[in-house]
Amino acid sequence: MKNNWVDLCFADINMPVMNGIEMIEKMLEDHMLEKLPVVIVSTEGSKTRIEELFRKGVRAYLRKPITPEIVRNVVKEVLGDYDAK
Amino acid sequence: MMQNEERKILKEVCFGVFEQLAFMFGDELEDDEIEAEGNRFLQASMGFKGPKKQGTVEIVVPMTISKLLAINILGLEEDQIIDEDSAIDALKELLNTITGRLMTTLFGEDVVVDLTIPATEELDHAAWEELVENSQYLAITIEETPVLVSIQS
Repeated sequence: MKNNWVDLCFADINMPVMNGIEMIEKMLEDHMLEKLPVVIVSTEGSKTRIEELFRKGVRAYLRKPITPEIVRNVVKEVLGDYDAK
Repeated sequence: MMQNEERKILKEVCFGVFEQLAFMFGDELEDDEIEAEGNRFLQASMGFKGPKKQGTVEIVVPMTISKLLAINILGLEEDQIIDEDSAIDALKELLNTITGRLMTTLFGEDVVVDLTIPATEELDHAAWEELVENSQYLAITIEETPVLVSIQS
């Protein structure tokens, strides 16, 4: 992410190398990435964990399975209409 | 051994996820109706650990259906050549979704359950037959192809 321009980050919680929460914590420590909007796409259904994600600044949470329409709507919601065209 | 209630939930969650994620429809299958051709099967498993229970969720499918899974989940054309890595990834994604749904159905939404990354292993027909005989595995049929699923804790 440091080497490429990124407007929006989609991430899962359950990922190899580093989980989604650890990834967000790392991003928050980096002034280049701390404001990058993150959308979590996961099978996770625990309210406790989802609340924790929102406390860490996650902009939206999508529970799998998802459809292209759901992705489009969340991109419009987070980035605005112009970026979702 | 799986309890009746667990078997019912596992079956319903599997049918729901196959339908929503892969647009494939399932039905119940009696043990004596399980007939799978071919010698290549794919087993995917992932672990879960909650405050009161931990265990493993598994799914075992004939290799042929894993390619159909990849076509449907990735939105590919049926005449496209599907590489095995895509078929494996599709099965992992399917299991990941099944397990996530199972955890909230079995344990509720207030509990935090940690999941491991899905892992796969290829099985031959003899290994498949062993699992068919194993009472830990529930047999269902997806688009007329037998599939085994299991939750062990």
